Amino acid sequence: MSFAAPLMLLGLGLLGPLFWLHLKRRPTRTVAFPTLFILQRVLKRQQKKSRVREWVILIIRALLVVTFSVALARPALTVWRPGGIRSGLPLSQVILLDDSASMQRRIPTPGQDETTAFERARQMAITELGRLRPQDSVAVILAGKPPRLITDGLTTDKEQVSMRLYGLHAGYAADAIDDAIYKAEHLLAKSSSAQKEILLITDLAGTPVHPETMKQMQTVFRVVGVTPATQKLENIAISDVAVLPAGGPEAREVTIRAEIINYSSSRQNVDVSLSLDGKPVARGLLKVAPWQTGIKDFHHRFDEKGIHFGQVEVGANVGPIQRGKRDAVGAAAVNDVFAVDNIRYLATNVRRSINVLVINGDARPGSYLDEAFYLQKALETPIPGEVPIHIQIMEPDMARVTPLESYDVIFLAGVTTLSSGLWERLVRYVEEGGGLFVSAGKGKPDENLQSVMPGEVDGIRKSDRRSHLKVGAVKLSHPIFHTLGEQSTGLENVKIKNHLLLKPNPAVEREVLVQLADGLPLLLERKIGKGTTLLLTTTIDRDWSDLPIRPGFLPLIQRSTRYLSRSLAFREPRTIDVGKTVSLPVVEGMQKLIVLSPSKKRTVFSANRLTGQANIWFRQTNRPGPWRVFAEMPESGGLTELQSSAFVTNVASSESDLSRKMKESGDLSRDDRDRYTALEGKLPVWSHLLMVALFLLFVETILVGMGLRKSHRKPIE
Amino acid sequence: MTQDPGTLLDVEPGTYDAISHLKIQVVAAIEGFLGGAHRSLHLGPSVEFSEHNRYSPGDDIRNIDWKALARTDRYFVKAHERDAQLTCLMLLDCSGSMAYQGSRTRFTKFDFAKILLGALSHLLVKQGDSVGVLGFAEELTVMLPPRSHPGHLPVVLERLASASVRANSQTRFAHVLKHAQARLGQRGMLVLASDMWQLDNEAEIILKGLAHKGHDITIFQVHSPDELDLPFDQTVAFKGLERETGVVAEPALLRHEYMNALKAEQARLSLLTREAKVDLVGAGTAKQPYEVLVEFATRRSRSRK
Repeated sequence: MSFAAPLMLLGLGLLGPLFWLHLKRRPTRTVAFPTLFILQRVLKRQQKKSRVREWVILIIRALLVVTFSVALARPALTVWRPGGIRSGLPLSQVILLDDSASMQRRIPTPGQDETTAFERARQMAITELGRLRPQDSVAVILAGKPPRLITDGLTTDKEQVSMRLYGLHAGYAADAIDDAIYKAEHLLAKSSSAQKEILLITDLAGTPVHPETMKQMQTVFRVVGVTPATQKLENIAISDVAVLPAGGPEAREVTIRAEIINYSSSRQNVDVSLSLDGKPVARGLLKVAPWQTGIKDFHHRFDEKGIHFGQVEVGANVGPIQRGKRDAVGAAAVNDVFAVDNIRYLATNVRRSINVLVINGDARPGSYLDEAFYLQKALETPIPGEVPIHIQIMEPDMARVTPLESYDVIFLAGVTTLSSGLWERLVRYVEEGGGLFVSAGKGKPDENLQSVMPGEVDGIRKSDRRSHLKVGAVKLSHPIFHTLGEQSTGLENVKIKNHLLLKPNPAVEREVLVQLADGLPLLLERKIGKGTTLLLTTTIDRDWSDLPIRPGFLPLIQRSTRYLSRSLAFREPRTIDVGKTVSLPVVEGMQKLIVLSPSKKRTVFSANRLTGQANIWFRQTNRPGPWRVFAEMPESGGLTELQSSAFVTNVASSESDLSRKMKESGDLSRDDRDRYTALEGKLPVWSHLLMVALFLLFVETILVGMGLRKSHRKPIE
Repeated sequence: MTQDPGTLLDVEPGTYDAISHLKIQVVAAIEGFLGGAHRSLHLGPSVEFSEHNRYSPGDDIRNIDWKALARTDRYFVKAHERDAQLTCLMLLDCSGSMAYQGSRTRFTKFDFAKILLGALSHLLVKQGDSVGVLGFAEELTVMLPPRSHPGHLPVVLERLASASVRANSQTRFAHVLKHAQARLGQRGMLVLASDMWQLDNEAEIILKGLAHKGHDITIFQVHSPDELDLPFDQTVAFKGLERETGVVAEPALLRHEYMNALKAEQARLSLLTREAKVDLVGAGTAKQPYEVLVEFATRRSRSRK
């Protein structure tokens, strides 16, 4: 029921005074009367009758107030009638057509050509269009990720919608039913039609509609399944492929691990093959139990650095294991109705590991007292997707005779004196592009060492046991820290007792990356030639601070090392599901960004779109395969491949499970005449209520008058 | 309303004039020793012929109707009614309920009764009857023995005028009727001015006894029109005039039942008076007192014929 003038319902407030007046009735006057004994007698006789009458009158008057108030609010009833939604007022219907990857499944039809679930769904949608009346409007939303409206909003031009439906095919993305429902609700909210319906045509696989979505839904929602419930669903799917480092100083040896799921009721012998850079490189058989996952590992060594694309494929000759022929492929192969997930793409960026030399100037027998111990633990911790770090520790004497050029980064940990020979070689190493990380030793460094440091040491600031310094400002815009964003650096609670004091020297170009709370530098950077030097003004062991045991130590050391070795920009190619959005970094001055799809289709982002952007969001990841990214930079003069931006897309593993996860609520093949009601319209009932009120008024008048009529004044004869 | 006795009959202009020419006729024979305007039970020297009786030895031969002897050749003696003096007791109800006036009348019931009884006293004394007054509520409040001499009228009027309503007091009819019975002794006239509500059984028995003894009993039932039709609107708190518990009621809804109950009460009283041969005269305060007297006298004269 709805009200045209709901403010009139305030009239219901009159009920209060009405009841009060009735129940708290006060005599208007007092009369001393001689025949009171007769009155008493009459009252006693009429007491019960009078009370009933009073209550009846009160109820009628209350009803009178209610009906008048409600009538003045001009209510209207929502009127439904049997006969289906197509028999009432105009209907606005949004058809959600599931075009997710699972809709590519084959549906064997005896005696007819084999069809796919999507083709059947499309035909159902077209049939549904034919059942709509001329005044009904319709829109079609594809419910794969991301949901897409294929019509110009709600339209009554069903012919045009049908034409568009004929040109559609199932995609490779996962379903996004919830998002599609929200989109449909938004669309229907703008419609003025009295009847609204969302019709989902799906294979009932994939992610069920979230209960919260169902709760918030304002319109009629029907789910129709396209696949027969009795269909035997058999599918062999590759659910995941991972490229794992095989160990060793070089990152060229990898293990490619494929997870294969057997969605069938029989044990399968699966033919798995690996192709890299377009060439088949390995092949093997894998036994997978019914409804279980099997893992197939391929070991491979890349000959060349750089990005490599590949794919793992389940061969066509898949079949059950036969008795006596354990490894043979059977003749009665599994009827794999869903072939899209038989192939999965991979990409890896092959690069050698970062070599780090730690020159330990303060070696101690107890490991927890040794700076090299903390450095080793921090550097050797593997970070997923990052280049591994290989560390070598030696004392300064040993370092004198060791060639430094083979190391990407050199740590001087606790070193206070440098021999002339080592000093000269270190200076040359840095000037030629090497990375040097210096941490304070127990004393004041000598002049040789100070010459490669970002500043001249003035002395050592020592605090007493009770007092300590804390970390102050951190330069978050520096590459070492900028990925943290607004997150904690993990250095906030570091307690520093002693640290080196540096003389101010404007002549030296240095940058303070981390300050102490009183503004003195804790971490500084200085460029020397092509190389970079970082200075930590406190020790890495726990003598001068508790930095090594704080959460910020590991990321600080790891990112400093990768920064010094210029490996921060490196990243493994991403693997995402089809339909998801990819962030592509934009470098300042980039003139053009081109994304090359697996089908060699180019998407070009011009300079206009790139200017002032840190990232570009690429949404057209509509098919599985390798995606390469190219950029045109002013200095290069042509297109350069951005290997770190490359990515591969795969069919979401959730699409491989073809079993039904949603409940069907309506079957288009049946006549829904008796199953649904149609909205006939809004029936104004205020006039009826006014009639009721008048009737009540009449009854009230009669009831009151009945007493009065009998009691009219008639003299006693 | 207390009034000067001399002006009691002047309250309503024309009251005296209207009733002065009336003679109150008493239907029942009144036994009395003094000659008066009323017929006596004893035949005697009078101008008023009563009947012929067959002569029997011992009759006074002076009463033999010689003309009848001549016509019929039989001896008849003429019997004449002897006028008797009337002893009348006026009973005035002074209970609380008599204080009611109402909105539609100029008198309280009590004042109306006093005027009525005063006028009647005037007539009776004027025609030589003796008149006494008994005022009563729960006890006797006024007591004046019957006298007939002309100087007695001002006393009667003074007593009536000075009588007042006893607030919150009830009516004890039995008590006053017993007194009246003792006072009258022989056949006489009893005039009761009251609203006659709540007449108890004892009073009824005494009233019947009095009537049986031959007393001429007249009841002026004084009532306000309000008592008859309960004219109030809206919710009213009714308070008793004779110590009854008050009630709150909506008269409009009770009127019908009330009037029915009142009618039943009235019917009971009518039956009683009819059985006892008591003259019940309705004396609504909406009328003028003389109208009631005229009506009463007219009825009396009719009944005598």
